[in-house]
Amino acid sequence: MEKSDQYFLVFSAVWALVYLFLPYTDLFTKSPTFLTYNFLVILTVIYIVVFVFYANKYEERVKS
Amino acid sequence: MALEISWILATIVIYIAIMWYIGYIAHKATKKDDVVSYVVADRKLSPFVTLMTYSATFFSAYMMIGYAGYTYANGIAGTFGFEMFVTVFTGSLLIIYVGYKFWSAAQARGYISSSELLRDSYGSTWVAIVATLLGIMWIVPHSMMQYQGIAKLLDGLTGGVIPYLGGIALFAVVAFVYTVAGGVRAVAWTDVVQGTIMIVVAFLVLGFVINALGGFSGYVNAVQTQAPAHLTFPGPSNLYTVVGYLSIIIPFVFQPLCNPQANQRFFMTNKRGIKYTAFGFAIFSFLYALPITIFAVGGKVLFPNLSAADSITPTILTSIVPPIVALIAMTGVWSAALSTIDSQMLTLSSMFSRDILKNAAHPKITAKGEILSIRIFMVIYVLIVFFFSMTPVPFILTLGILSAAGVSTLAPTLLGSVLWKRGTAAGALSSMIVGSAVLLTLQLTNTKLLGWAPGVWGVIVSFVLYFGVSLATKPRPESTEIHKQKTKG
Repeated sequence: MEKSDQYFLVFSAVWALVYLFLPYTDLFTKSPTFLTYNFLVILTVIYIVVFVFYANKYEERVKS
Repeated sequence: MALEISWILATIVIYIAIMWYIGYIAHKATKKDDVVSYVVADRKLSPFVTLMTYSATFFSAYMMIGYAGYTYANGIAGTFGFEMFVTVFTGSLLIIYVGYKFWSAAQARGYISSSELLRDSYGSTWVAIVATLLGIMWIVPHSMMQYQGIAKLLDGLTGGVIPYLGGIALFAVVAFVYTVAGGVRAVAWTDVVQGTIMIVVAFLVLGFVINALGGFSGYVNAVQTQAPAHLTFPGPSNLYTVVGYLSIIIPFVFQPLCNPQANQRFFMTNKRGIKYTAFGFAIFSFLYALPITIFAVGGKVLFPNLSAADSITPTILTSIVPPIVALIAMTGVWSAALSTIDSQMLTLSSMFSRDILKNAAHPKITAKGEILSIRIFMVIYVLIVFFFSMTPVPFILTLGILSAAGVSTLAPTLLGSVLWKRGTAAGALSSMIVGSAVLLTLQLTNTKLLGWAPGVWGVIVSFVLYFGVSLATKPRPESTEIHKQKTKG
């Protein structure tokens, strides 16, 4: 496993934990606004952008 | 704003004409009596067509009808969150880490279905047969969901002029004709058109909902004051507690890999097509879920007392959207349903023909005979789904969750086939059969052990058995390893 794979998997694990459980904290549950939704939307966009870079790197290593 | 029945019929006719014309062009482009050409497009689908057919196939009528209904009933935060987790997060990971391996194995060995890959990987025809039969069994509820979505919409929009069963029959015939004629090219090319319509329509409906609430700031104020519980966890109906949220997510996380019609896309394209599908699918799902969740929660403010949550989209279309736009929106729902129905029909039929008929029962079948058997099975499949769809269920997303949970019991077998060489045929068979049996038993008895949904237990049991039985049985021979198609470095 290359360094880029390791970084990406660590990033993915942290992202998943934050995405799944942070909305259950008081900061979000006590705010009846679009805060939670906007937070999830922003995290989703961040993941897509990082994944696009990673997928490009990964493809270069796949044998034809 | 009632829709004129004549306009609805005219729209249906035009839509069918376009789809069937694409089917005709696809028929011309498909080599005669060539299974690879008919089922996996000679493995030459372009990256863009591959990502569109994968995405349009994955997203079905449940999005505009059931998913919108779920947002209406259970809130925007959890409903958006679980979909993005399943598609953007696990979808991307599964496509990049498993999709490439499936693609690589298919390039080397000529597979047309994932069950063929399982047969070689585990050195067992029974693994392929069981995976195919369970795949068919668990996809039936998913197909039912498509037909019910379309039929409910048509019934609602036309005030019963096109009745529920009539809607099902109509679209079964539409998808059947172009799929039988043009094979996977017809499916994929219509998916490009249908996928584009799906995204455009979702944003179009969103625009009218925001407009009806007095613009963007009016929309935000109205939702925050009139539906505040819809904006946070655990949602107005308390569905998205931590356990409730994970109970929905866990059965869905393997769906981007385990749906047979989804993973067959890995066999149809080139190397670049897998990469485009991985991140293109993430972008597509984000662009599709975003407008639907926003307009559905706006619908909660506009129509707070609907008796059936699934009727929120039809209600919006008939109440605040101009008739011409409602007609276009209708095509978006048909498109979402048809793009899934056609793929399911072709994929499951090709699996039945290849994995049960050719690889097990009748090895000497000719290519012509195999294509004929695929077409015959399509007829049988449509009739089975029609029969089970005759009685509608209140929440069509319920069918989707059952189907997702069912195919997820195949996850360890599929993942292990290319990622874990110690997995054995006994492990795979026990995992698939017992995992499915446990899920079905818990589902039919409506049992939530320790508060967790049946789908979670189905996945847990299938993984535990896969690892446990595999480690307790003799390793598979070296010759069956298809892990050797590895990445550089």
